Amino acid sequence: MLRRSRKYKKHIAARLAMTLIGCLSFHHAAFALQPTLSVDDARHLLHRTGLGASVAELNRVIGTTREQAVNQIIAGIRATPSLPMPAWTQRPAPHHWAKGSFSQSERRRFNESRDREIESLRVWWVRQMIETESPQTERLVLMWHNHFATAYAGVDSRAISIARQHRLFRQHSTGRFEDLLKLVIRDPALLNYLDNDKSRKQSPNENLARELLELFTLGEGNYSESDIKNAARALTGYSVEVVQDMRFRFKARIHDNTRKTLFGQTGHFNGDDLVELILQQPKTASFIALRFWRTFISDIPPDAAELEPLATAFRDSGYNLRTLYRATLMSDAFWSEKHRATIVKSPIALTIGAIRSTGIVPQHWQTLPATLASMGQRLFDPPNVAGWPGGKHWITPSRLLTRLDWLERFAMGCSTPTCTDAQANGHMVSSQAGNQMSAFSTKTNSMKTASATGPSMHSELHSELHSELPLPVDSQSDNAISIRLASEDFDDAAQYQLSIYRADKKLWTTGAVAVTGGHDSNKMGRLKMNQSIPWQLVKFHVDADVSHFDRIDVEFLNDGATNSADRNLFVDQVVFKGERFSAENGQQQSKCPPKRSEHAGRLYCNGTLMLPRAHAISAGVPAVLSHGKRFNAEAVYVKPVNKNTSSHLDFALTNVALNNRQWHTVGFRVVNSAEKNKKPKSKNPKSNKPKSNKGKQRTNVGGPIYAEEPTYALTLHSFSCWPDCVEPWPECASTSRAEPDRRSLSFPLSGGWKKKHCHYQSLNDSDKALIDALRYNLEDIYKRATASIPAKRQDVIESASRWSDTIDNSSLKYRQAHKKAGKTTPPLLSLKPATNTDPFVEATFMTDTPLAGQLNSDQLTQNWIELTTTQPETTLATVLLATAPLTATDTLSLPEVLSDLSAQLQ
Amino acid sequence: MNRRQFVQQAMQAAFIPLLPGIVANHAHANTTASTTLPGQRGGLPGGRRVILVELAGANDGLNTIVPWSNHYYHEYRPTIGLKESSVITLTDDYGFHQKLENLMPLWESSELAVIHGMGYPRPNRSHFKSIALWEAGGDGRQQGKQGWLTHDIEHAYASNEVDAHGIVLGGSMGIFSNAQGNWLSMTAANQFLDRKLPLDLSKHSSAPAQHNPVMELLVERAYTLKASLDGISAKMSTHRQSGDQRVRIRGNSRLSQQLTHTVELINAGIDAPVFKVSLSGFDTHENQPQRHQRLLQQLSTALHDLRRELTITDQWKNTVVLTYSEFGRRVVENKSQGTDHGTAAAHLLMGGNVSGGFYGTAPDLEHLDNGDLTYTMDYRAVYNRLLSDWLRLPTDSFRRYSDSRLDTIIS
Repeated sequence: MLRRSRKYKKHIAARLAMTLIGCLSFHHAAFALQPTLSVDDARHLLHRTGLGASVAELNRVIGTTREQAVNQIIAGIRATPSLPMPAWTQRPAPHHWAKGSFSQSERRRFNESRDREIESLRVWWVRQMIETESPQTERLVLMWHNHFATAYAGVDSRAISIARQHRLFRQHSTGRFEDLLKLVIRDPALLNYLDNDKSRKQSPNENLARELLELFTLGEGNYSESDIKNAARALTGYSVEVVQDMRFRFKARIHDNTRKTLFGQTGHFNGDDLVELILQQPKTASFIALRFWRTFISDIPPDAAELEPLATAFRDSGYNLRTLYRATLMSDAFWSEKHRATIVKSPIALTIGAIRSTGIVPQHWQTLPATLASMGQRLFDPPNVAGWPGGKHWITPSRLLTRLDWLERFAMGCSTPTCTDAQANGHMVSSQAGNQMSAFSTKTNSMKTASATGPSMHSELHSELHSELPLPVDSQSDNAISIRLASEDFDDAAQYQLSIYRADKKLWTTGAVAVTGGHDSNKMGRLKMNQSIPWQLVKFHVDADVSHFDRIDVEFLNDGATNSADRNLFVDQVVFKGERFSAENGQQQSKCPPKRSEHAGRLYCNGTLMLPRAHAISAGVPAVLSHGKRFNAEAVYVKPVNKNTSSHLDFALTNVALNNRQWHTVGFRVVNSAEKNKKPKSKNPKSNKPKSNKGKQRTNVGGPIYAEEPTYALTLHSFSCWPDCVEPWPECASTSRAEPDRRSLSFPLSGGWKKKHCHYQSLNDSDKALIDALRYNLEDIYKRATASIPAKRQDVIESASRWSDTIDNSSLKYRQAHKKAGKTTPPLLSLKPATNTDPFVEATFMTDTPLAGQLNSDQLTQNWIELTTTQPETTLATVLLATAPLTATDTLSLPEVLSDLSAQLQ
Repeated sequence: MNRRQFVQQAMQAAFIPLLPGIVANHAHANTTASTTLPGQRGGLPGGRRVILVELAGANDGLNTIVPWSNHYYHEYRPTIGLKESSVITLTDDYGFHQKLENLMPLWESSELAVIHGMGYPRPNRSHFKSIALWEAGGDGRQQGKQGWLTHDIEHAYASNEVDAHGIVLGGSMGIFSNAQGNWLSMTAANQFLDRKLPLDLSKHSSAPAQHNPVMELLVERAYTLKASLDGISAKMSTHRQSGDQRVRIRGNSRLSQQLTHTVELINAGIDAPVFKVSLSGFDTHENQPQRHQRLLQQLSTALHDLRRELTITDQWKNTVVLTYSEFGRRVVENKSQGTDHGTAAAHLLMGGNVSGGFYGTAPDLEHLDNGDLTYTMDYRAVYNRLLSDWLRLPTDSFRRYSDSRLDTIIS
């Protein structure tokens, strides 16, 4: 490899010299005028900056000057997606903090819900990339996703943080790099991924600091180990407040505020200072310019002379990314013949590019995230913090095979394993697979006719486009039933039948349906569970009276296997009439039911998955909590604490509604003020030996023992509720010296009731109502919360049970005092019944075909005519390939063009 | 020179020996594939292979290689600690979990080494992150950037000297990440039996119009892939026709299936220096006793049968098997009859040329680091032995981790 690359370099040098000579004379002779874009130029510009290039996109830039074309692209960059992000991304973060109080099965369900969310985000992004008017925006977002690589697999299932990070990249894709960096070091996904959320001054974690310098800004060799240590200190305290909607929080208490020396300068630097110091290093501009080079110009590294103009432009603009983007696209290097076809397409460029270029959207487009994963580009899951290495790594043998396979099937309109074989043998694909297959068989037909008669490029492309126009789907229809499924195919596609029952009587059925776009286990080997499962949502129209139905069945009809290939059906859920039927709540009847009941949807043998309506849950957004004089919550938890402490006990309520206010989370603490005031704390030296004196009475060593009667209070602080517990925080709220942004309010539970405490008195009525409701319902909250601790959390049960008497007493005292004071009784807590709701918000998936309503066959024909009239030499190969095809034939059909190795490059 | 001349010259240049190395290599591959026997790769002591067994989820080292007589062990683990009666005692201090019984023949014939306390500095407790470290040879200070053995193996063997540089049969391809050579992922031995490249390379007659290193690499990869598919397909096909080749690896686990395919590939003469398989389910936070014993039963049965099958075809002597896992588990049991994420753990190395016995020293149970074991053997010291002593590669990225305590582990 080493020898070869040296040889390559020599070649390149020689070639560069020739190119320069060639270009000079070329310019001189023909391009005294400002060059306008040829078809080749247009395709090059669009393939490099966007995702493939449709005929319409090509027409838009052919004949314009480079500057006009680049301006057009830059003007199209958008900060918001054209397709709204999935609904869950707009809601507050799920209650990750409560996981410690979950049972094993609750935790599993919670995490699986998050997995579904990230899957829905992948499907959404793929669709956005297919549909968008500005594929350039998507490429920039993808570049930043790859640059500040953060993997969902490494962030504790925090799908919400990944979605928000995605939004961040979108909003700042071509803004000021300084802004982007300052937001990135505050990004909760990255802070968690690189362990900075737990980095404290006593023991700074160097992970983020190292990657910030090495991978995000300066590059290896442009900083010292001491810079990393100091950068890590500057970043301590940049953390995440999990309870408060998983937001960024600067924790002053654990931030190292002392002097640091960075890049030879000394000061009390924090993260923002660090960013500014980094931007003073000239190498930063070169490093980011190199990222743009690799993304837009070539997989072959530039020499200094090629890179420097880009870096200089970037630096001189004050690190304006738009300037760098423009400089890159206007550079001679970008347009040079030398650099054409020198980037290996990423899986996204390969697949989405093929779709956008041809206008053919495979009906099973929803399986694209799995396809991308099998080619090594699992969205939101780069392999590590260095991102996807790209280039030659996209074409390792296994991946190259997958890419060639996919293109072959795509070009032939194949959706089942037998399809390509049938094509090869000259057989037609039968349409036994029902309505799902019809579009494909139509296209296959036209393909056959087309290649038999040797058609013009125009008619071939047209037939492709025409036959692929999506059927209109009324997604709002009340009679639509959708099933989310995946299959492993072997020889034939898996077949299934979806039926609706009432009292064991079949009211409606789809009949046998073959899955399209399943995983071909003959060619690709067995599917790895939890990895690259080609899930898709398939929709049917129910044309029968199914009122009062009580069960939905999914039957797997054609099991088959050898010891290397297998045919299986996987069902995730069925949605019908606003109700969700999760496979894990169903029951499987087959010869090989799964060991774990929650895997009921995995059908490895012929059999039936039965989904009783009694187990269905409401499929929509969680119901709006009731208004009026009510105190509702969804769940109540005792928050587990790491240390055994007798000084306090933490509670949290989720989705709280009180009168007309709502909180996502309300957390509070019951404090034993006597214990709390013990000073100094009896230090218990950490012992590594097992405790052999377990039963021994605790003695307070070295501290005064307060003989006074313990008094109890309920306290709230700045970070315990979301949104804030009270608004505004009263002037007299306590503050902490170590943590100036942390304010707290205490409300006595026993004793001191008559004292006119300003904490209470300075609250407004609505805030007072919250405090009253919590105090008044304390006993109930305690009982419900302790009852919901999973039996396995003996430690939590133990520490909570010690509070039983205290809570009973103080609650009683409070109620008596309350009554005595003649106040009105606060509303009593009621927990929202959990029968028809799912506390774990599940993702909803899109069913409609992308580009619906956008593609118009007449328009496409028109576009093609326009192109071939003005550019008569145009062929499918010119439009689709970055360089002359290796296949030596005059006219190439679509499958031939896409199977040519040049289709791998851009 | 005008543009026309330039283009013509470029075409001339491109037409000359466009892909000399590749065409020659391709031809070479065809001849070597049929005449060279495994064991003669590139003139190096070959035929030797490593089978890596990933224990996904983090195996509990303390309940695998059990310090059965240590009173701290029983104090830390009052409910899940293994009593003497459920341990196969090997020494006064250590014994196997009783479900490793199937490994006793290997232990007795001194083909099984137990390496104590494998770990790395500044341990990470995330499954995702820590397995990535093990697979890339990194530690808590520095992530590795590519699969730990990929560089040295690629350097030693050209793509055409082996059927594949390595084959993953279970788990992720992470161990081969960022590699450049011919690293394959298969789920079955006969997956490539009749597999053709979906591309007719013979039609690709014309050379690219310009010298383009990226295109040349792509073409080279396509030829490598084709050679690999053709080679594996041919060998599997010959092997299939050569009579009863049934491989029996009991256990009905994913691991036993993967090892069955591995043995089939080896017996068919598929030459690859590395195979990787995986058994998952070791994340025993709850109810560990039942789950762990089932897993160890599956592991020991499959490894026992692997040895038997490879001994029949005289391949065991060319094989070394290493287990690895993201980390060990915490010393103190939790309240759910399980264990949480910990640090160091013992691992197993076995093979026909392995000198059995204990290696290294077990972490001190009396002096824990914040409740965790302190590693006593950098796991990369074992990588060093595999690359240098076993595969005898000309380069070894882990030489600086060499540890004399392992001098005799592989002969």
